[in-house]
Amino acid sequence: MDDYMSKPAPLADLQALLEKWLPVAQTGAASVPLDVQVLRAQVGDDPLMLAEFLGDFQVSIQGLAQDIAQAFAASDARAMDVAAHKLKSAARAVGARALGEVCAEMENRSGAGQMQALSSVFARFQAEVQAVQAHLASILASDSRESPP
Amino acid sequence: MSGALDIHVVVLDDEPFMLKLLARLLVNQGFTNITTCDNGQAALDLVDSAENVPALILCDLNMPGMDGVEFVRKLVEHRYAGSLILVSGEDERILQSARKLIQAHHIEVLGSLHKPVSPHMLSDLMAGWKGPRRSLNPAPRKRYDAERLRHAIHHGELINHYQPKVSVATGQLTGVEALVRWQHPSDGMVYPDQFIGMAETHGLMDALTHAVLAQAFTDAAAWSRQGLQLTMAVNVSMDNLTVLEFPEFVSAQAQVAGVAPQRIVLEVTESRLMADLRAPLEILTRLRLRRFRLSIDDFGTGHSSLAQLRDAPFEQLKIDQSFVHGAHADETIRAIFFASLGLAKELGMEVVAEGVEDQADWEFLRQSGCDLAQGYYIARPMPAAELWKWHAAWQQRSDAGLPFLHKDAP
Repeated sequence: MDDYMSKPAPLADLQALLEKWLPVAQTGAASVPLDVQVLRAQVGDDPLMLAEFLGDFQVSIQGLAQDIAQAFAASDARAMDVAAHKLKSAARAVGARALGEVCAEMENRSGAGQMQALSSVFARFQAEVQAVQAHLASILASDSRESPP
Repeated sequence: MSGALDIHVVVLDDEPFMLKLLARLLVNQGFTNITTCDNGQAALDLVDSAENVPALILCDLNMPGMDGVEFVRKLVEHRYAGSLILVSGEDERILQSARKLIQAHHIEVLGSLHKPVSPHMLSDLMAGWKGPRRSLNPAPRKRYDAERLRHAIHHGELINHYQPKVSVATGQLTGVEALVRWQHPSDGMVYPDQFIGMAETHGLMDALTHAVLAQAFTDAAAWSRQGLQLTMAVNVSMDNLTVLEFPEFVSAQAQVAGVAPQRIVLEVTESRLMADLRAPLEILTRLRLRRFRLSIDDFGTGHSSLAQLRDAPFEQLKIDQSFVHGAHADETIRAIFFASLGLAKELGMEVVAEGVEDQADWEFLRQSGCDLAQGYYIARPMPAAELWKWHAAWQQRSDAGLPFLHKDAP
């Protein structure tokens, strides 16, 4: 084992790294449904690359939100667990923090078999998905306007 | 790392977006030969392929179907010789136990990454990668037969190495633990894990323990004459404490060598659960009556447990290395460390922390109230003749406030 990172160190490290590498003002980032800086820190500044990943995430979120809705309708805890886990990872990676959190909550509840307790979480989830999708659409639309023809 | 950018790296994740993102991170770091797999079977097929076998796999832990843990077991079956990095959104304890499991399978784990993966953490891990290993199966370990071992014991081929223990508060050398080695005339140094098991199954433990004790006492007496007053610790296993004359034997040996029983610590382990504890408990109690010191070794693992602490007259407790190394950074390990320490203190016992491997471990101990420390950060086991030289160097380090040696001190 060369370099295992365990908490709380990595969170602090990550914070330090983020502050080091993302000098851009982060005020209000928490209230944005999707903070592009998170993705930028991973893949770099190339706008085409960013647009490509955001587009991919658009596809992922659509499919997984559908899976989650179906699992919710069918009270299928296992399917809910799997889909919420996937979307959690992807959402966090792309900077959709609030969506990541609500997915984590759904994953925990379904993992614990508390399907009936999911209703209120599911409502928040749907709202968050819509917010993220709208935000994504606006980012991608403005990107395409700015890109050279 | 620059020479290794063309190694074949496989990324395994069930979620297409994460898969692509991880691949992009690797491309950004300069890797040129990356394959993505969205299920474990696809990755195993690559491991089985004739060419372009992966040297490194980044593996997601939580996947439907074949999950990361099952995948790793299959990797072993498929004789995978490369390294692994775990990637997961799971919590720290799940990652830790997965890591332990994988290491138990003898697959090299470079580390684990939390999602979302930071490029800097990834590049740090990759920087620690030593390159492809040559083969999964190292030269098979040589097996020795009981007759050969018996010959070795009676012809002085077993020698003791000694690992220092120091005071946590002052850094002062207080004692050593004797660790047996087999100086094989043609195979070189053979370590105990290659012969102790056989000694146990072939009734050679008594002869072996006697050889170790005699040598340890002789060396302790020599150091004492040269002005170095040390406690000498020798390992004895509960399941070897069946010969009722053992206390008389130890007393006689100590007397012949001229070492006071107070300077002798018998470190006791119990490798298997014993049905009948009467003989070992009698032997331990009688050793204690003769003023030998008893230490419970590897506390918290195997059968080195609370029941032993209740039943036998131990006065020293050695916290197993797995609850010491890294305790500063891990809540679970730290909690177990402090619970063991507190328990021992409550019982008025002296406490030794095993497995002090780096500066961070040492500094953690300095704050903890633990009495003694032992581990690679302080010293590896060494032949008796090297103790003086190490001691001089250690005193210099100690006087200088224990500066950082170098990263991999051992």
